[in-house]
Amino acid sequence: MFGKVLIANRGEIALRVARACRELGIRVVAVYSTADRDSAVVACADQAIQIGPAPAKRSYLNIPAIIEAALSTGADAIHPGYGFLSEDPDFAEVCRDNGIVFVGPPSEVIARLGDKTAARKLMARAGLPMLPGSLEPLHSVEEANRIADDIGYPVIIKAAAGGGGRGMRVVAETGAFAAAYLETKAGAQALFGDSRVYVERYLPTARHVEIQVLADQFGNTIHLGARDCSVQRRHQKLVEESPAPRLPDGMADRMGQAAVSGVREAGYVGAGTVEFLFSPEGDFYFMEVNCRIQVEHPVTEMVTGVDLVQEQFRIAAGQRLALRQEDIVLRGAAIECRINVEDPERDFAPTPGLLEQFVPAGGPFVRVDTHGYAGYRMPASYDSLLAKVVAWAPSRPEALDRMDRALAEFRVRGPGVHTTSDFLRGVIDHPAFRAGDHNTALVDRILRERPEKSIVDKIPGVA
Amino acid sequence: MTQSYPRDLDREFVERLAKQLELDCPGTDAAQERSDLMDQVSRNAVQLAAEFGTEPEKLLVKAGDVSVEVKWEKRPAVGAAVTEPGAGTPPPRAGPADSTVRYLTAPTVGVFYSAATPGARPFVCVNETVVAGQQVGIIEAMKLMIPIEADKVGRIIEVLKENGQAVEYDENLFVLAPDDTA
Repeated sequence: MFGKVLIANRGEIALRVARACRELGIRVVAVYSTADRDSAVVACADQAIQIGPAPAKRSYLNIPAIIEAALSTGADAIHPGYGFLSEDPDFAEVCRDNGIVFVGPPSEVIARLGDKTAARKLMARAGLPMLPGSLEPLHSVEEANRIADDIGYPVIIKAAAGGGGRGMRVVAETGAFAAAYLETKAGAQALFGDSRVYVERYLPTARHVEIQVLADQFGNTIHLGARDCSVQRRHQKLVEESPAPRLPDGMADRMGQAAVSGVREAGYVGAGTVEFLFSPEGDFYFMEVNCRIQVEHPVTEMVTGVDLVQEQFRIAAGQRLALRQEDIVLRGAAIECRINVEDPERDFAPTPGLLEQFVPAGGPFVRVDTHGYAGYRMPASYDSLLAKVVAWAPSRPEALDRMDRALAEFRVRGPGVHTTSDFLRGVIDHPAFRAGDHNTALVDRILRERPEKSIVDKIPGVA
Repeated sequence: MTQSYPRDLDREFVERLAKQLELDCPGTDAAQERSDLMDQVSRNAVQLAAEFGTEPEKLLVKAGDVSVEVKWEKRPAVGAAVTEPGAGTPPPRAGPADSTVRYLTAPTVGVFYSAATPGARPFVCVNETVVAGQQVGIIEAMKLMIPIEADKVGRIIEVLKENGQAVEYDENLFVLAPDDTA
């Protein structure tokens, strides 16, 4: 096992990774920007190196500064967390060239799966079911529009270099296609420096179901069950749970086996996620592979008892998987809510700032992954995720009750600071969510239902 | 200090601006310097406009392919105080004695931008009258651009924050006088 690991990230995930290091007896090097001097991971690390100013481009995405920090502190490995450099094949390669282990898949695998059109081709070859769509990037508006017409509307245009819900547009009918196509291309160029896009059928009422996998360097690959992440706003996940509720018998296993064959085909090593869409007709379709630990990994940990970040380290250190597929048994139900500093009343506008009061949830079977503390100043330079509240119970209804209790306990106050906590209580209390027959349209539905109610209130004579 | 407006003030303004441009911004064709130049030109124009205390209707300044527009108000003002350079408080303005200034504040912690893109004309300049809902600036927070809008009609007396400056929640950004001359 490694003696010292550098964590090339910030926020709650940096702390999560540091905790795994502590438990494995690995010394921790934190890196931080000037905006994160007072962060929780800096306080708990054995060493902390300032790598640049607040803008991520000059700190958490600054490869030379991070490599220099790793070399000067004698770190054996770098854990990239999620976001930032976690799925950058160049970074993985630079690590390797400098004799530092990158905790993640090999550079070539990240590059192959990061190109969404290449990944689709690869997964189609491995026999995974695909939505009708283009397997190659599109070359002209006319060609793209023709393909979209053949697929049938609605379609979704996605950036080949995209992922994580960014750089995509839904098109309802052929007349709107050309404009959306050009916008998506321009957006993809701006976001990823790569304007290639592809198109596939869009399922407006599908569920987002994903499979967690672990693969060691010796070809042993297992899956750790399904997560449902259908509660999304603008393609960003808000609530996740495991197991995925109300899947037909045997469906989670079929998806798990498909995910395992897919990542085997790709030569995958490490912890990863294969994302699928599950249609109302009961079919599942490959969406993308995420070559990183995901934000929502704790729900899988809670139902399987497997520490995924520790497994990442064991795999990266060249150990064989100690777990076999038959060892993975899902017990009970776990749900995660992402507490963001955003104001749901103002279209989820971010509200960073000073957390004068910060009292996280606690109690039995509740886990809170957060970098927040009373007196912490949530910087405006990064994302709005403040905490992940995870609740476990023997059954899903009990887990939801427990989550409601935990969210009610969580108190965050500060000048101008709002959180999504109350909004999320509304989500998990929604009849469709309680019944487990919700889909990715749930949040829009809840938001639509809100103003309608207040309009009705204002019309005299209407109950 | 109060002054009336000489009719040829516009010309004097342009001459002083041109002089300052010559001193501060030697012309260049280098593309990457254009936005800096534009920035500086705008600042100078705004600063000079403020010093005159006049209310421009419109002014177009060109330096090479860089141009600046300053808008002057049409109606003749009855009198205005000249801004004391370096004075920390907003300049007193003509108007009813009971008129009070208002502030537009930051809706969140973040970075303040006075213009839509680097080098672009600011959303508003000193002495401009804004209407309710008009965008006056941007706060960037957590990779999102949040527009700052005027809550009601008023005249911008002072912009308290520099373009690109970090601001706190509820911090004052603009000083507004009620539009009592309309």
